[in-house]
Amino acid sequence: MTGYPPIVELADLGPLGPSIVGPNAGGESIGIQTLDDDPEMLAKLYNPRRLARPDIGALDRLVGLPEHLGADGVRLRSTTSWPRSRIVSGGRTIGVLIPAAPKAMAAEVQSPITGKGETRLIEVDLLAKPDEYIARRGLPAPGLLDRLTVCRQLAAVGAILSGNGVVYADWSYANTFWGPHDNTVFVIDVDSCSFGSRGHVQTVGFEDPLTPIGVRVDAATDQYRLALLIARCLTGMRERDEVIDELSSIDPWLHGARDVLVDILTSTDRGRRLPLRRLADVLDQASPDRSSTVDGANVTKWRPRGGPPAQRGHVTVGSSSVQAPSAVKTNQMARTPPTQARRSPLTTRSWNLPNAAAWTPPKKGFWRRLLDRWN
Amino acid sequence: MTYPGTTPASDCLPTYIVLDTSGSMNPHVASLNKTLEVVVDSVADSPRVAEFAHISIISFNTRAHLILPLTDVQGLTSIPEVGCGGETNYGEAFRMVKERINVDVPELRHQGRTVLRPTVFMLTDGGPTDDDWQESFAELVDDSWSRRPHVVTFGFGDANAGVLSQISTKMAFLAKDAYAGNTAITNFLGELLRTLIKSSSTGNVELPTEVEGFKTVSLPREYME
Repeated sequence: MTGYPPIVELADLGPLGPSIVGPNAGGESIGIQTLDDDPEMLAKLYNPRRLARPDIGALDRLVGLPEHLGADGVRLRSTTSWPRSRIVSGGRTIGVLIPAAPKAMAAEVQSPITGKGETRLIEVDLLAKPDEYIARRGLPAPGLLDRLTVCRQLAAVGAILSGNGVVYADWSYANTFWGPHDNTVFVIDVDSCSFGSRGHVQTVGFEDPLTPIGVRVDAATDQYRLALLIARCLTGMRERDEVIDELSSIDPWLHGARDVLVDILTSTDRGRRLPLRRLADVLDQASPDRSSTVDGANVTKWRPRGGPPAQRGHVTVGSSSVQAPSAVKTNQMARTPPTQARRSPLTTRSWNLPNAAAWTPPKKGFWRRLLDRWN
Repeated sequence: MTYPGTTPASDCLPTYIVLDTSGSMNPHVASLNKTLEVVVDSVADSPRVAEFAHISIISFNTRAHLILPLTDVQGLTSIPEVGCGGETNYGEAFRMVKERINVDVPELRHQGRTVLRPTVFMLTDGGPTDDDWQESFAELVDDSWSRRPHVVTFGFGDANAGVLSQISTKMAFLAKDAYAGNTAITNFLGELLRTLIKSSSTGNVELPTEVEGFKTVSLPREYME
């Protein structure tokens, strides 16, 4: 799997098998063919009419990126169809070598209409449906923990990409496979990622209201689209507002993730959406074992107080202090619980809000309302 | 509840599968039913495709029959089987398609969907046996009717290229081997399925430009008034 040079001659790949996509598949390729000598790899051959001049520089950077990323690079190679080599022929770039989705991810799906079964790869599309819908297809009904496992992997990939300035743009139901028996994921079509923004990519059902058609897609677009995909997979719901409603009643131990998702999905300022790294972190930290906590800081509850926090910049819980809500707009705070997201155990620490000096105590009754909201 | 950042209503493609079930289709009825089952099953297996492309099945022979009203096939628990017999009255089919579009489009809008231009995929193995099919077709695709559909046709057996070109607005395909009916049916429905899957990804109606086992029939040129 790793034995391919960054640039490979088509002839060196040996004979190609039949295309796994039809002649009318369209897009940038004329076909995606397995290698007879290595069925785990695919040769995606560009359609010269649709992609006459591929961005060779970007493709080479993508091919080489995992080498520099340590564990993140390993994750990219295990959970995505990360490009292995640029394929050339006659001195021209004619395609890209990519890994096929692991066969082990395929599962038998039964038709709810005829009861007939078919073993195939399953798009994450199906996970964005309720448990009972999935069970009717003869698959194990994924519980919340299964859904969380998938979402963690998706968020981790998104965080790695955004952390390296890579824009995917194509987060959608169709571009990730889900292994329903072990909750693995495999993201495809990553070979067309860009470094920095790129021309608009329309993704049905994942339109970012702050990246309208015609506007270049960038990291903020990825934040929205991936957050929407993750929220859908977590809740099994489809419509954005229904997803957000569903998140509002999600288990308390997932409130940290809920708040980041809701922030990204409802922000009216694309530049202020919380980063995918933050989303990945809160998903990683979420655990039902901490069912009494409301976030990653082991805060067990927020008690109403008669006045402002004991010390500016600190909120006391038991004998310790934790980070207070990071927002100062009360209307936003009503929906946004504390945002502490570090793994460190509960310790006394300073409140690092940059604008702490400008903070003013909330109005009387605020903490009660907040508490009621979270309970 | 409504949250900041309005998302656009989701598009829906009303898809009408119009099947010739006249007597001459009888030798192929098993293949027709089997392939139809595969198509509906496949769409039902893909929530994103089923949400995007709602499907209606209309059969026609001496009369037209609404086999499956326009629906999100995820909710289906059974698939209708068709039988074959009778004449090949195209006009009946065109009238029923128009009638159903006038019912279905408002209903989809009522559900909050934005509705793409309906698309008709028609399969026939013969020429029309009625006299008024041209008038019916003209009414179906009348430019002044805002809900007029795209029509894509597939023919085999005794289907006539000249007629196919007259009842198609986008593409028409005629089987290379006129008498390989079962293959033609399989390829027709397979291509229909691919079209729906691809269209659901792009949000546009992505019609095929070539279909295995079929040759493309040239359509009449359109001229500006």
